[in-house]
Formats: sequence, C-alpha cells, structure tokens
Amino acid sequence: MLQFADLLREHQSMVYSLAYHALGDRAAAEDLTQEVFLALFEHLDMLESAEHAKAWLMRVAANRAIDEIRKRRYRSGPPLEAAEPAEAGAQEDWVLRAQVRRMVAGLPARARTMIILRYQEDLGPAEIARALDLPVQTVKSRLHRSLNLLRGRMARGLAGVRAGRRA
Amino acid sequence: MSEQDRFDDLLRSALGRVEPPAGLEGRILRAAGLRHRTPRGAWLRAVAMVLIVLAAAALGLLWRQERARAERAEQARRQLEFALQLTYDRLVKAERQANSIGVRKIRFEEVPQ
Amino acid sequence: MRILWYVALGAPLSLAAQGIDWSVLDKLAEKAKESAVVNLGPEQLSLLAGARGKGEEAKLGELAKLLKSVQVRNFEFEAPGMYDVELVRSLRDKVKAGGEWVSIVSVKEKDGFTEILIKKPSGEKTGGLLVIAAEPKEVSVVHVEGVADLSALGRLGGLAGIPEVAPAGKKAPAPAKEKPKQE
Repeated sequence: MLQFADLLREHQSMVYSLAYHALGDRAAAEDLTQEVFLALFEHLDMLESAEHAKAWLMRVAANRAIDEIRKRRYRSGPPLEAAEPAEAGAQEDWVLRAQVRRMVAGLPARARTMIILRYQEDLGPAEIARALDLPVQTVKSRLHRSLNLLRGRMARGLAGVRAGRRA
Repeated sequence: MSEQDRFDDLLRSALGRVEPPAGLEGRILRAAGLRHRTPRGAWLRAVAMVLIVLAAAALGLLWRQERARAERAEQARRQLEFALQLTYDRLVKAERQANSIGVRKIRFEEVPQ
Repeated sequence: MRILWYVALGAPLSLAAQGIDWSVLDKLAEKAKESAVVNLGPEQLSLLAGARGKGEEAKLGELAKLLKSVQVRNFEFEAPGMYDVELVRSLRDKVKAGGEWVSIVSVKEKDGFTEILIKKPSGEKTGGLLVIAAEPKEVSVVHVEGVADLSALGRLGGLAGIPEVAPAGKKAPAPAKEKPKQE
C-alpha cells in the first residue's frame, strides 16, 4: 500500500521544480504542487506501485502546468533566484542560468514543458511522449525545434551578457 | 566538450530541480488530512446525529409507551380494588342483615331455586 | 354535585352473553348523583397480572390472572325513591331465570334487596360471581368473570381495605368505602 506522506516526501521536489520552471512563480508553483499532490491523495488507491505513482505525478504535474501556463499566459518573466551569488564566476553562472530560464519561459506551454521534462528530469522523447500523451515523433520534432530556437536566442543573449560584463 | 554538450549542460544546470519551500510538505499534508476528514467526518457526524436523534426518539417513545402502560395498569388496579371493595361491602352487609334476623352464619352455598 | 366517574377500558364486554341486561342499569345513571362504571377486560387485567411487586400488588396480580373480566355499576342517588327498584329487581329476575346463575345469598329488605349469585364453570364457559344490591339511595352491581366461588376472593385479605373475606360468616368490620377519585 502506497503511503501518501512517503510519495510526497520523495516527489515534491520533482513536482515543485517542474511547476516552478514552467510558471516562474514560487507561490504559483507551491499552489500547483499542492493541487497535484491532493489529486494524488484522491487517486492513491488506483496507483499500483511507486513507479506508477511517479509517472502519474509527472503526467499530472506536466499537464496541469501546461493548463496553468495557458491560463496565465506565462510567456515571459524570468524565475528569480532567492539570492544572487557573491563571487564573480558564480555571478556569471547565475546570470547565464537566469537567461536560460527566461528563454525557456518564453516558449509555448507544451514546448516549455517538454524542455523542462527533458532537462530537469532527464527524460527521453519516449518518456516525455508518455507523460504528455503525445506521439514520440511529435515530441522529437517539437524538442528539436525548441532547442534550435533556444540555441539561437541563447547565442544572442549570451553575447549580450558578456558584453554587459565587459562594459 | 562540444557546443551541443555545453548547451545541454547549461540547460540541465538552469532547469535543475529546486528545493521546495520548507513548509510546503506540511501544508500539503494538512490539506490532505483536512480533505480526508472533512467529507467523511461530516458524513459520520451526520450519521451519528441521525442515530442519536433516532435513539432518543425511540427511547422517548418507549418511555411514553411504558408510562401509558403504567397509567393504564394503575387505573385498572384502582378499578379492580373498587370492584373488590364493593363486593366485600355487599357481602358484609348481607351477612349483617342476616345476623339481624337471627341467622348466625351465612354459608355460601347454592340456594335451592 | 353530580359526579360521573366513568372509565370504560377495552372493548365493552358482552354482558348480554352473561345473561345480564346492562342497559337496564344505564337508565339509572341519568338520575344518579354519582355513577361509577368499571369495565375491565382481559387486556387491562393482563396489565395487573404482569405487575411485579410485593404484598398487595402481587396479590392483585395473582387474582387478575384468574379473572376474565370485571364490571361494576354503582349509582348513588340524592334521596330515596329517585329510582325504580323494580328495574333492578327485574334485572335480577332475568339473570336468575337464565338458569346459568345460582343465588347463594338473597336478602330481602323493605326498600331493596341484596343478591349474590355464582355461575359454575362448565365446558368452555367460565364461572362468575354476581352481586346485585339495591338500597334506597344506592344501586350496586358487580360482575366478576373467572371466579365461581368466594374462596378465590377470600385470598384477598388485606386488599383494598378488605380485612378478610369470611365465607364462613366470620364478622369483619366493614371498611369505609372509598370510591376511586376522578382523575
């Protein structure tokens, strides 16, 4: 029998991170995380194993995040870190990461969620396809397109960051 | 390290897991507990209330029935006593009357018709 | 003051079946100062029979087990001559003429009479005791179904102010008759 508290402890980071990267808002991420786990609580009897529960959580979190993005029309606005790193090297990394998150946040809802699942959870196209209930080929092509887009934006953005630092 | 690898690493680093706030787990557990308790608790409370009301009504009904029965029994007792007393009065009177005319004892036997 | 104490419990008992024309007495009720009517059927007697207790209650319970029914009509009048004693006498005569009832005590007076009758049980018919008393200012009729002799009532010593029913004619002081008060 699956224990809700155990599942919550184990997977809250996954769900919260997904929501946070997708929505770029801590409070909204907390709300979505709570919603997802309360849904898990209601469906606990239907889940057969810990793996099943994890896959279920990922699917529900991803889809709810997509819904929430569409509802809120989150297209921009970078997620903010709690505090800026003090050292120069760390500062650069932090700026870079923030840039990347801003760019990811600029992607359409489904593409954004695919990228998050790909890089946050290290999922392959097939797993992402299962989580979002999409054909694998669709996921592959969307990922490919999104990554190209990000790469292009990043090249322009990084140049801006470096130029800013030199100045 | 290729450009692609660096790009992937940057994405992994930027989109890595972040720790949820400390209070989130407790908040979710409380909400789940509340959700768990509220419908069932409310349902149980409602059932308990109905049972209490039914039990009280049944007890009240039994008590009223018992009281009514006791009242009827008391009425019947008084009436039977009255009937016995009246019978006794008449017997004594008849005996007294018989004594007054010289009959010393009344034998309660059949009187030939 | 005219007080009507009338408690009819249970189904009215068919007194006609016992050879007693009760309607004759009902006519007297209209003229009486006080009327007492008792109709105890099996249901009411079973309430008494089921009573648990000691002493008087237990004795009454024992008696109630023997009884099938009890009827009483007692009428008190303001003054002598307010009712026709012939009505009561005709009632007694009809009962006696029926052949079922046998008189064991019959006292005649100038303005009335007292008649005590019994009915022996035979087959499915239960026995009974009937007291018909007519006095100048009072008429009493008591019908007890279920006992056919006074020995059963003799067991009631101490009940309802009855010192002892003395079939052998032992004298016992008559208790002051107290009628049940109106509820």
